[in-house]
Amino acid sequence: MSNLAPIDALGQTKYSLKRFGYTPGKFAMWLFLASDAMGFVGLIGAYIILRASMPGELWRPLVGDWTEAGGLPHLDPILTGINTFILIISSFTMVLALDAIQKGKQAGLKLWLGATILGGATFLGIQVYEYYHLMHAGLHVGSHLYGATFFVCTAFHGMHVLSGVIYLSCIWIAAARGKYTAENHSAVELVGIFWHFVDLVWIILFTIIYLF
Amino acid sequence: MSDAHAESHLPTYTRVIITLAVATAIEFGIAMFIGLDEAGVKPKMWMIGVLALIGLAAWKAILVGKIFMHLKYDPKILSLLAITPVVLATPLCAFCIWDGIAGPGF
Repeated sequence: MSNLAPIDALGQTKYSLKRFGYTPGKFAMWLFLASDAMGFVGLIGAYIILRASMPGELWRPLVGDWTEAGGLPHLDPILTGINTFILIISSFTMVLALDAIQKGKQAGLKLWLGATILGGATFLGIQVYEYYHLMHAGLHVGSHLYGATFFVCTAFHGMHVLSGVIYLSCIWIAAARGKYTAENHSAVELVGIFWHFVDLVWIILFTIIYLF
Repeated sequence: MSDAHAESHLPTYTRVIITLAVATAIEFGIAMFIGLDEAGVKPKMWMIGVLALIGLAAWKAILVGKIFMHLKYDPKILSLLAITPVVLATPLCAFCIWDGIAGPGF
């Protein structure tokens, strides 16, 4: 057995904050996000090179036997634009939740975390609606590279949103039990960083996939 | 946990969300202007529009990273960690785009 006194997690966190200016949890989260971003880079890079090498109708055939209507269907930038706006707003409600707990406002934390969860769930709902309509129109993962790249890129992001909603829900339950205070709210900040990352990636994906 | 920058950034957050909303509206305007399905009709305008859209998206992503994710207020090492994938991705994407243009192309 060691003669050293046990180091409690909160003491270690405070030491790290004082010594380095960030908590071990925050450093670990950024390390995870940096590696996670590599996955998105691979998918986005693949999308760009495939699209760049297939001009015009080669990329999205307007005739053929891909779907019941022949050509591949259009994506709906208006609907997804509204969805993008919802995700951006949910990032704002997340910073409001963090701001609330930094001021020791438990009710504000629960309210804004709840709004963030609602925003994320709405985003997923609209994405499922969009998938349903595109699949009904005949666009599938196996429908040409257009369908494959669209579904893989957006579904990979969608799984991140789903993870974020589950993660946020766990934090909300802990918040409802009064776990977080103005002095101890590291977990709220970490879930916030993850959620903003999901928003940041969507900003890039939306522009590349839907706007041109 | 209470970071060294625990003071309220609420006014900054509000300015950023308004900026993001306006930038998204501008993106829609550009997308409508360049024509979603007429890329072949005005290739030069299309390319300028695409570059503007990518620039706006990058600016929005930087705003989210710096302000919402607190990189502006945190130690620089976290920014270094965050920017690593971007540094690796930029030459990859540049090569992909060049390869696409050099091949059958846009």
